[in-house]
Amino acid sequence: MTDQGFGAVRPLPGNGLVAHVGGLLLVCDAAEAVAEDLLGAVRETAASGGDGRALARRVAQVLASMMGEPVACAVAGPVPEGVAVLVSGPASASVTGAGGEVRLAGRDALTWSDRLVPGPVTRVELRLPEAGAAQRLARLDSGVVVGGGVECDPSEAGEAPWSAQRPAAASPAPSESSARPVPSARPVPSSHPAPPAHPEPSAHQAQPAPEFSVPAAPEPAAGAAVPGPPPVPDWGAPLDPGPAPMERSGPPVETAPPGPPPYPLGPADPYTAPPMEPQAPAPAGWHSEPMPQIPPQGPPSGPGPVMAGHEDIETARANGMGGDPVDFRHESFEYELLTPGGPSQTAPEMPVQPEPESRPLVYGVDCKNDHFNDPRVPYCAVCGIALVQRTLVPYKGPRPPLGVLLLDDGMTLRLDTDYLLGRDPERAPEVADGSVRPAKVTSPDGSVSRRHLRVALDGWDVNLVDLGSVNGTQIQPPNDPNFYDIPPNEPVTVAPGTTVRIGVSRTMRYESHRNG
Amino acid sequence: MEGIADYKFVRSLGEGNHGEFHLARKPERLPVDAEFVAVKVLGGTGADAFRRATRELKAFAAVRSPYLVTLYDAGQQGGVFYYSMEYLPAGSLGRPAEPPSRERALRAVACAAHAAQALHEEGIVHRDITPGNVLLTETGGKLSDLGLSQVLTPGATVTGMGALGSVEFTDPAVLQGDRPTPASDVWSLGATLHWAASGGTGLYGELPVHDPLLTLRKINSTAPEVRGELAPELAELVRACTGDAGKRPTARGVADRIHALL
Repeated sequence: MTDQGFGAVRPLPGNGLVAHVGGLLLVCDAAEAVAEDLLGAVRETAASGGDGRALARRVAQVLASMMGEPVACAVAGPVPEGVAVLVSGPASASVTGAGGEVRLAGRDALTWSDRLVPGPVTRVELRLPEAGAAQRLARLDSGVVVGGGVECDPSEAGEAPWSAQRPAAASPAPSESSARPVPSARPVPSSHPAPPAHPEPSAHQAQPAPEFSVPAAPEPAAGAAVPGPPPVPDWGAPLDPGPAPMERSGPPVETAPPGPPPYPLGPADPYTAPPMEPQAPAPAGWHSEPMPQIPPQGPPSGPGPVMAGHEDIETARANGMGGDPVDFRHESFEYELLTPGGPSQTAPEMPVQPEPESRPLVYGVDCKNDHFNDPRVPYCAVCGIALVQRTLVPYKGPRPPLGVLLLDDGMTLRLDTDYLLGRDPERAPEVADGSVRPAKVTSPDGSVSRRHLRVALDGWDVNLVDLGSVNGTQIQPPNDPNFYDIPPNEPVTVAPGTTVRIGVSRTMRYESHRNG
Repeated sequence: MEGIADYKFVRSLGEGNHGEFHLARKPERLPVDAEFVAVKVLGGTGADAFRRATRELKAFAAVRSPYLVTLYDAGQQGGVFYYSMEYLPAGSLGRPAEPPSRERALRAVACAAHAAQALHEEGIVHRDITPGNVLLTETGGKLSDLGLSQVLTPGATVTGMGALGSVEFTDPAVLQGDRPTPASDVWSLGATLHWAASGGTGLYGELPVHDPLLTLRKINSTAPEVRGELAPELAELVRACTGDAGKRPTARGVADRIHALL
């Protein structure tokens, strides 16, 4: 980092706001009311002579006061040791410092991500998802303009640096830190479905000015919108200009236009209960009809039998059996004594290990720390280190869990095998034959079918298959306010961050470090 | 909640990792000499899950060890599953009635290690050794509450019932999908020992416990290491328990090494 700040600062086309004030950089979504506050944070920091650290702190305060979805925003500023950067929402950042390239995506965090990248910093890029490619002569020496991002090279004083039109794509750079970065049009690791290179008529996307419409770098055709994972034929070959990070979030949106939710007339599946079947009081004995669930939202207390305070008891009572306190108390009950010498004591059986099954083998690559990864992703799903793909030779290895399904009641299912979700999944044939795990999901309104949804893992992808449920399944892709019906009996690949509505009132989210 | 089956609840004892504990009066039918029992209620599960869980509990109950909590019965009413066990009024290491002395806390961990050894010798993995499952007694401690979450909901790392508290005591290999083994129980013993010896510090430091996903992220991105001010021998033991799975001591080895330091 030099004293003159970020050197040559090039704005990228787009519809957000780009600010370069007092040596500090901000890129944010202009549509958000918070943009003014963010600009204010930058101006205040600049006015008080603050550095990148102070800027990140101020911006974090602004973001922390926001409700709702994280705002798309990225800031960067110099600090004595290098550059401080913070990203939130669908924005992303890439900073090349002493230790190589560091990429940050706001989507990776529930709040925001920040990082201090040690210098000397040779490149800083902040992007909104729809940012275009930089025009080499464009400069934003200071001020606030409309744009989709910013890219800069602190080592450049400000004069036109590129000797020729973007040299990067063809020749793999000798070393990540010294090389001029790959052009910014490389898709950022965000799950935004429409990369800028497709000028898709999108309501909010202004037509970029002609001089900006340079073809946005070789489109990584290989990975784009592949419904199933390609068998990764040749990952050993040098990949230019970088891997295609998860572009697989597109298809569901395309295939499922906003349909009239939420009561499609599903095919009458004999296994499926009539819609909105009332919650019958469970008959006594062995029966797995919907039954009272203990709601999970008890006080987060340490596990174990303990002496509880008075308020704990009250809370426990209040949470006890939800609104339907005692209907099971009139049922008959059964028990089995466990005490030694009890009448029904039999020889102990060996405990079953319900755990799977050998893990399927998939092609992947190891990061520096030996974490096995999807070869399509740019950085390690476990430790976040950049995967410099051309040096990695993929091999077949056991697939790690692909993340978790987080249900609205807190249940968390590890995605290491297929699941069958429904009101009564245990009796489904595919569960009985052991090919999928059952996960019981009930809802008070009876809108979850007995066999409702299959979560099918395919290579590194997570697919949803609605099993012809009565009330259907809807998905809300990340960064999209709308829910879309998915067609029955067709696998739909979902990206991390996707919210899934099962029937009418239950939801879950696919969460993963991977692919996101 | 008033009770279940013929148990009348006196009060809630707090949440375990997949259900809620209640203090209850002992029904007449139970052939045990106690006025009160602890009942854990696990909510609705399918019949198969109930059978699996009962089978696991029977295997657990059949293991003879003075350091294992005694189980009384397991049952279901209207599809809600419960099991009962002896009630220990001193509470757990995680939530004691009164804070134990450091020596008492270490002694309790050693007892839990003995209990784990007894389970391992019968081919049973506990899967959920945490400070909350190490109960305090006059003379030491008892290991409680076999980890049933995997049995009740196969594949669930968190069952949606109760806090995520135990993930920091779970071998990261298990969190990432490996099968629980005696060595992963030893990992948990090491984490519990660290917690007890340092007065409540985990191997990952402070965790954002209010948000399960943030907790998981921190755990996935942080290397577990000795963080508290531990005597060198204890720190060494914790490192051995949480190090390379092939080189970990046995549960008995852990117990012996703790006793040697007391």
